[in-house]
Amino acid sequence: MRGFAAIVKVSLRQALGGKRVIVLGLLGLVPTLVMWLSSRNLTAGAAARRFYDAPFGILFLMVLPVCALVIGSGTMGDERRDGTLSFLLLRPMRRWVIVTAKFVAAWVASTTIVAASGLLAAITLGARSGDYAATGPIVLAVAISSAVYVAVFMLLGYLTSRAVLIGLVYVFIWESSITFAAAGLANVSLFRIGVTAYAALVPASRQPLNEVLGSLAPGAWGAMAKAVVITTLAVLALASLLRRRDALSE
Amino acid sequence: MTSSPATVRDATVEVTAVSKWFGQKVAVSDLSCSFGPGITGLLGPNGAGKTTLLRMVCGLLRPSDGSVTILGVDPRRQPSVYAKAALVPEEDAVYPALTARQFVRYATDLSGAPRSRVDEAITAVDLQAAADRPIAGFSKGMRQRAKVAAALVTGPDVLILDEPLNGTDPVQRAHLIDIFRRLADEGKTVIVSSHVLAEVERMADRVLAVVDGRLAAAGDVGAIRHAMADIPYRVRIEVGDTRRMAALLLETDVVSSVAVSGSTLHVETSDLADLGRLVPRMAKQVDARLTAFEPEDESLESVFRYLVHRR
Amino acid sequence: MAEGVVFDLGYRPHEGPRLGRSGARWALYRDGLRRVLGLRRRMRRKVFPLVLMAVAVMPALFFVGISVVLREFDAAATFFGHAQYFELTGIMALVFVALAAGELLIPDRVNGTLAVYASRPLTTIDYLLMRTASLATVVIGFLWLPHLVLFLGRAWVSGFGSYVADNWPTLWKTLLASGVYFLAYAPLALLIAATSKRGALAAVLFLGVMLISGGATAALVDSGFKSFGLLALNQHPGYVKDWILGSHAHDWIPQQAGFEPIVSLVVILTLGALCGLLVVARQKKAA
Repeated sequence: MRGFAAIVKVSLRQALGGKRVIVLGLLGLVPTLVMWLSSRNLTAGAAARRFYDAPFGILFLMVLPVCALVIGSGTMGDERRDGTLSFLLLRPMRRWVIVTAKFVAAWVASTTIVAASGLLAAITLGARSGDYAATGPIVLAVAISSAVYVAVFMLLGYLTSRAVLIGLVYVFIWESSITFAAAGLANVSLFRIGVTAYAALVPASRQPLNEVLGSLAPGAWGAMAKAVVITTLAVLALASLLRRRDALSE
Repeated sequence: MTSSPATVRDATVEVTAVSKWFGQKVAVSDLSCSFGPGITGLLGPNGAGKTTLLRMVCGLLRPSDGSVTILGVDPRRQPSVYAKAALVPEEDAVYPALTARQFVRYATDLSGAPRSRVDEAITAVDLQAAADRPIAGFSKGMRQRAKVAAALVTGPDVLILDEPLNGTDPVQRAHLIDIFRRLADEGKTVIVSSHVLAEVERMADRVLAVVDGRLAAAGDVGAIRHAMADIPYRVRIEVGDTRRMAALLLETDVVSSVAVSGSTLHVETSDLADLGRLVPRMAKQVDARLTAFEPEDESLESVFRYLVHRR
Repeated sequence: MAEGVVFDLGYRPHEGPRLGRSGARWALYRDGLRRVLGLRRRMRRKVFPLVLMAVAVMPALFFVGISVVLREFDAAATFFGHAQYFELTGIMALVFVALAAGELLIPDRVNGTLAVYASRPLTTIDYLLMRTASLATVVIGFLWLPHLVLFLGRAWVSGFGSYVADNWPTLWKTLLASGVYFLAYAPLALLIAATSKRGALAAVLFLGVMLISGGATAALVDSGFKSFGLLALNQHPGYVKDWILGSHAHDWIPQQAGFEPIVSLVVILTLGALCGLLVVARQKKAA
């Protein structure tokens, strides 16, 4: 337990330290800024629709993936590149415990930044429309989507030094374009998992989100279950790789 | 494992017929040896396979063939053995944003060791003054010491050090060697890979020499030299009447060449023991004063050079 | 008395021509080209630039092929005009610049080899100019090559001389537009690379800034905040390109905000100059 907590603490410091968190934080302010400015002088209903037009999309399609990609791919990738992976592996700790601790740290870091961004945007929506019902669900949705993105990018970051390139292609080409083209492809879209949880908890969002995202199958429990399955598989896969593969630094 | 200078009786680390290849490149080839209490020096030229061997011993690399155990256990299958083993790697495996104290404490927490050891370990490597500074600002020698402290803090029974003296100044080097020596005296297994041959010669109880991925020699330095029967010994003899001594020496069967330089003779011989018996008698015969009889190539450096050039 | 002797082991000082600062700059430029294109490096470093270039040129070759087979240039058979072609290659250039900028500036700083350059007849400005020049060569070449192929292909089937005489401004206009795209993307990418320790991280942050600025400013301009149209960083080069080529490929955000193309050009040049100054300051600090 002590080792687990130590890994989480040091990894959080690595993820949230330095200039990158400032840049990510500033990017995170964009949805709020857009919401605040674009919903001025609008009715409550119009303000709510405006929220799903751009700020919501910017949050889930841009801010969240960028944060998760930066933090997730660096979680194991940076340890390998810096040569500190051997420091971690030569401990009397099971590999899945080490990986889980790294995942928890990356997830908390990513969720903190993006959830703060979402929360601010939702509070702004509340201030404009008088309806603060979105605040809790948006944090939950961010947490769910963040978990799956971070888990996948963490695995990718360990597997290849081109993780960022692959992640970019996935996020900005696959998720932002191709999955919109066909309803069936929505099932392989990670950000939608969190959005379906949100839609389940905020019924008023279903229609505007359906218009923007296409078919949406709302379900908070289903979303959480998917997230748990995906993150568990990713963590176990990474733990298995750590056990079987040679720990070579780059 | 059959008995040989490459193995020890009370082994804590056993390497059995281990090979490792990376694609077409064979880094270690069918190497068997063991390590026990005391300091074992692991030597070899660059690219010999020392680091690969050490990383296999630690379990960071999987042997392509053969097996490695630490305290009877395969470290890749049972990470619990890492509570009793520690590695100080050659590369800069530190967290730059952490201070030395935080780094050592991190090692303590990960290994489940008591936190009271943190200050002890930092004091042992003489890093007290810089303990609360970020490692990013450390010199190479200080980073080395931080790594050693992080390894010592876990109280390992097996300590593996890959080029631990790199970047350290002579005072720090002596200090670190004292630490390794103390651990060895306490019955710990210390494996040191180093290029600083003079220091390894000073501290190691036995050496293993790796050349081209294979074990080239093992055991005591002097014994290894004696085992190289095909290479003549070079001996320095200081004597009063060098010319008459040289003439007498050349008449014997055991001497292959003599070089005269002032009052010094540099002799090549195939039988050191025989020569050692003959030289005092010859000195008495020519009524010359013998002041020195010293083998010139029993140093580790000479042995190492012979081993490398034999391939 | 102790004696000493030094034996000549064959070392000879360089007695050939000293190429001086221009030679050093040229070497730096060539090194930059190699890094960006992955030349003299492992195959995997070449894959991405080669694939990108192939994808960029393929449509042009395809259309030229169709035209040659049909023995005529049919505008209807050519799906992309020069202006639309930039829509495809512009996005590729954005990703390419994001990754290449880090490759040019980060390794020297992180590996400590800036000191090697400092001991040569090179200034910080020389270093940055040559790195930028190598990036510009590849990016502008990559953006312009398909247009050259398209132009020559059309000329081939349309009566070479007359086509060239009538349409040669297309060549310099597409070259100029390619330069605008480079100026719009490269300075910010280089600035982010100059402050990062990891190329991948710099690439993601640069792309994040470019894409988020586009999405955010679209919403704000739509809501009546026209001045935010100036912050649509990934839209300005397209708007200027349409102005240069006299086309209307897209409803650009700065255009929707009511700005003239010259304003977009000023934004590009101002941001470029500002980023350039910051990169110089940062690099001098790091050297």
